[in-house]
Amino acid sequence: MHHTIHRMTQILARSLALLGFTGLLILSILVVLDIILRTVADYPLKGVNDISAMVMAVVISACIPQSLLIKQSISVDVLGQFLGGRAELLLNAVASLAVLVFFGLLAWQFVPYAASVSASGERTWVLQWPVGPWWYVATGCFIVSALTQAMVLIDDIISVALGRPWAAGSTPIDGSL
Amino acid sequence: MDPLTVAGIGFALMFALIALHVPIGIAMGFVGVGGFAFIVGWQPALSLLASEPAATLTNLNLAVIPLFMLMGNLAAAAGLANDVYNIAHAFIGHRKGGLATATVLGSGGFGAVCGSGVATTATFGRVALPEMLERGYAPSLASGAIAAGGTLGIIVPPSTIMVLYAILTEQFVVDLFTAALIPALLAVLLYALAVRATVTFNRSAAAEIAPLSWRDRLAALRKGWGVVLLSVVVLGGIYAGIFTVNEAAAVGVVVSFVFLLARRGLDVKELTAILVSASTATAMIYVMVFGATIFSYFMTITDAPAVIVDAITAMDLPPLGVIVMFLLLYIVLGAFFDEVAAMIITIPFVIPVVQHLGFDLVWWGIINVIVIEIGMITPPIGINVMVLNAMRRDIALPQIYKGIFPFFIADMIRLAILVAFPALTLWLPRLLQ
Amino acid sequence: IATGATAETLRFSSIEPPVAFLTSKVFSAWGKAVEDATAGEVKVKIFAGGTLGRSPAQQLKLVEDGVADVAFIVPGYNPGVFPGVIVGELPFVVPSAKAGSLAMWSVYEQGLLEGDFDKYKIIALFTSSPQYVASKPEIRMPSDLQGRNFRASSPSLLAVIEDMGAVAVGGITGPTVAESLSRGVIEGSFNEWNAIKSYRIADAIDHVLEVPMGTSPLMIVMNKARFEGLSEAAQAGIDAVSGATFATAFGDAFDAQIAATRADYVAQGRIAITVPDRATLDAWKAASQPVIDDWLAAAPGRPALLAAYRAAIGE
Ligand code: NA
Ligand code: NA
Repeated sequence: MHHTIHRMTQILARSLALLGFTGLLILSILVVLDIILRTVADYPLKGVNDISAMVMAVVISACIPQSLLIKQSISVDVLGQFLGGRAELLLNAVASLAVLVFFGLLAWQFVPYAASVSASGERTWVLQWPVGPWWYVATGCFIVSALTQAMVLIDDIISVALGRPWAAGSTPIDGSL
Repeated sequence: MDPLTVAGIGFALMFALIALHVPIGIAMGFVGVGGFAFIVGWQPALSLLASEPAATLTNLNLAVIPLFMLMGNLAAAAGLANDVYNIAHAFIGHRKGGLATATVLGSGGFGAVCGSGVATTATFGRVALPEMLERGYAPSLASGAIAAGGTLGIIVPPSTIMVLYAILTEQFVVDLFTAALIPALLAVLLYALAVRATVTFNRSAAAEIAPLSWRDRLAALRKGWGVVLLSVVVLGGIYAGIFTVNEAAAVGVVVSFVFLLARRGLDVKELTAILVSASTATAMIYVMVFGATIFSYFMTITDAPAVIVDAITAMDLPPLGVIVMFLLLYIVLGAFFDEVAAMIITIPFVIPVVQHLGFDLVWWGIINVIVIEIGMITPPIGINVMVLNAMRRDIALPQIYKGIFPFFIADMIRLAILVAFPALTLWLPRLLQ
Repeated sequence: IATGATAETLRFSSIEPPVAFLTSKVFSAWGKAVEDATAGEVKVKIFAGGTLGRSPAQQLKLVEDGVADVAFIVPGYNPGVFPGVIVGELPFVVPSAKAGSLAMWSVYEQGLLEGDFDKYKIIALFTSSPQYVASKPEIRMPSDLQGRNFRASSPSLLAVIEDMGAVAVGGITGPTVAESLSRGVIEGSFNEWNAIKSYRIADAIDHVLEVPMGTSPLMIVMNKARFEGLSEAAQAGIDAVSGATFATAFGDAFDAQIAATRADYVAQGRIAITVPDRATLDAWKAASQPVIDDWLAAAPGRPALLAAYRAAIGE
């Protein structure tokens, strides 16, 4: 049971990240098309600029669950390494709890935020697309983030109980800062 | 309670959370919300958890970070880093320590198409490290050159750190990219001298290699057009005023994507890995910015930054003395923190002071980037060293740090030169304005 | 935080930098006026340059959430929230910042403006002075816009220039206009002289054609609960220096600043400034009429609103 949920979370987080950055790649291609069309054909694409802010909001929020799942974050583990053993595992669990509380609060605050943007009828400038739905999608990503982090926390608690790292994903280092 | 006390308690709590291994962005976010709630009230404070991330997510200036991330990862996968390294190798590889110098030059060249220091390090860890080791270079020199060379990824424009600094201090990022050119050249030059010094003092650090024929050299040169094209399109486009920075980054993504397709074909699995790895690195930065912006609300509302500016002004110290004090502060913080985090945490205090003392914020941004470069290769958290160590478990950390030492000295000399002569940094951006 | 026993400090958020004239002159003068009118019971502390939130679109939310008590709002960044103020964006309606601002307050008091106004305490409503065609190539007639990339500062103006055959470019905020102009993303924009100066648009353009293509409506809003939590005397004090009084102060300062800035550019002589003749004005007016007609037809109260707004300006 736990393994199934674990697997599903992994697939969901990774798919969201992949979907997000595929969107970014497509947005880049649109920008290039826009540049080519406006210089060569004197006919720019309408609205590329207009939607990019909302596309970016969705792209980035879609990446967060995966980064939580693999624990890719800027943090300081000096104390944990100094203490070692079960104390380090306990610190990891405490940190994971903090991350869960943060994203829980964030997701909770985003629901009324998306609702209020939708209710106000805000639209994009040129294409007149409603802005609200985009924020609901982003809110959905934050809810998935919180659920993913809950998964991570459970893993960390199991690690503390076992006294050894358990089921933790490894952290790929390529492509960070 | 007076503002300084509130801010001080906030800082202490933040440090405590960070010591408990809470990610820095999250720690800043918690203290920001809690502190703001303490002064203004819970409801407005909690609302910041939606409105600030929302503003950050839709900030198009910040959007160049994921684009530069993706561009660098695509370019590396397309083998563009190999190309630059091969050119430098072909021309100077046969000299004493030539492969290490080629690594430095290659990293600098690849830095022109990659915005990240860690990605540059990881890339050259794959491209240059095996060859140097095979050819009998001491692991210390080989890994030192790669870890130090990797820092060039953030001082050679484009640079994600400069984008971050520009956004948080409201500077025009192109000014920073322009200002970085001379310091970046200086960095490459001093690193080459550091290699020279290493092989002079320790003749066994590098092995002899036969020179390549001119035919091979020209062949390497011919293959290098990819990097040249990509960097000319991206940086040339920005400097010449053809593209906005966002457009240039998008063009860079597409060009490097085309290179990847042309050279490696469509490998869905590889492309997936590239996209996912760039995405998680991006998410990490954004979460940090969420926290930093929420934290800055708390700092603003306490008025502490203004109080500190007044206090430092009242002390009537020589401006350069204050700058040196800040640099020492960063070195101390660097012992506990990632330097990027240190920069972000201190921006609300340091920037008003630097500005008040009459220093240029573009210059200070470049100095900050160099401090971060130094932090990337110094203990206890030298991220580039960690990356190399994770890639090659057989090279011990002390060995890498030993190899880095000459490059560290080179960095200190560069820092001193650029602090003493701000004109080296500011001359170009003023010329181009 | 409070300095006296009963003193209340209002946090006033302004995206304009502390040195910009709106913040340094107009908003801080209002803050002082509030302090005087409430006999020191209410003080105003200005957080300028976006220190309480950098994004212009976010300012309204800051007031709603109580992060800021008062904020300077550009409703154009929150399209759809205060549709009524669009009456000030229509071309050839507003002659000056003062007239436009006073008339906006008048129609607001008459209850003619559609929008989320009841959610907030409206401190004041303004319009900028009319925006002109600021461009790199020379633009004389509406037909000169054919096939060109232009940035419009409002959806109605956007519709107008699309009618004229221009390609409307969105996603460009005031501070990025100059960069977009110099990189060829756009060839022109609609701005008044203050914006042309403060956003450094002047460096990137060669021509300004002074046809009054509508204004940018502006607002000062306050958190309603915060206002109602103040004593009755304090509320009356704030009301006394807000509304029409504030609109007059704003309009006078804005128009004076525009005149001074324009004079500077005339003296410099680098930008070709064209004051339109009758025929030019008529051509632009005719070209923008269809959009005004569409706007009027889109909701029942609009013809009455425009008539009342015009009447208030005429006074
Ligand atoms: Na770079
Ligand atoms: Na370090």
